Amino acid sequence: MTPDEIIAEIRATHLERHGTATYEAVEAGRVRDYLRALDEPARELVFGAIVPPMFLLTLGRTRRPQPARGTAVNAGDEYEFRLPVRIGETIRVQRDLVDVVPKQGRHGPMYLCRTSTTYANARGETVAVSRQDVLRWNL
Amino acid sequence: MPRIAELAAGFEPPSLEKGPVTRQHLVEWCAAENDYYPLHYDERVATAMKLPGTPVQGTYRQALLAQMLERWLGTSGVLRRLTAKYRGLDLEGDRLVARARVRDVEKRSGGGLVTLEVWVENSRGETNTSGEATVELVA
Repeated sequence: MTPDEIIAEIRATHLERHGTATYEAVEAGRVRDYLRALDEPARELVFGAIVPPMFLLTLGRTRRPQPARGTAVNAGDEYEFRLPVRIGETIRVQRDLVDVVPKQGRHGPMYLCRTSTTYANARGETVAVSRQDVLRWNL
Repeated sequence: MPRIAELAAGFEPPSLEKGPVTRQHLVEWCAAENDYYPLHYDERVATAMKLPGTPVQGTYRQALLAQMLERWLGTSGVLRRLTAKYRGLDLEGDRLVARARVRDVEKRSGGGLVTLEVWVENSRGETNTSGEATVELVA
């Protein structure tokens, strides 16, 4: 495949997986699992309690994110937190593919895939935005 | 808890130590973030990628940075921005230490913004995760 064909495939796969926004409830059990995975002491997780800001990284994920072909590694993450998120809210998650940049790696061509994710509450307010860089190769 | 009037460049909040990171941690993190990329719990996948071990998720390392900052802030402030670049691998079995150092303090009416450099060291003497954080403090 040519680089242009690979980039077109990356874009098509992204649209297939993330073309439609997802809506996820901020459930106490999910927050509890997040805190336990970090060995954080148990705390009362009542309806309306503010969740740790980085809990948002758990929303809108695909359980099986590995690409159909090639190898992928996360190169970086950036989060901006604008408003608190509370247990009981539903968050709309929209993940957009911003850019795919071909690069030359030690073992051949690589592709830097940059996504931007917007998290919005039921009032339509953007509560956070994030950006992620993923490197892919062996495509 | 930090007070904006007492902070200056160079101050280091309490660090956060984790580990050694076990397979249990890695799998629990897969569940917490709803992302079961097998590279992080199946060493056959890591071996096929010629990696020296099963790597710790980048998102886990970023979450440790957030956890460190939130423990320091308590109720005196909130995390507004957090970036993390992953330049190398922390592996299963590593001990991790999340650290931060104040880079800039911007006092405002009723509080202020504090910018910190943040990073994660492993027990093999490597710093594979680094970034920047902004926290908002109340006076």
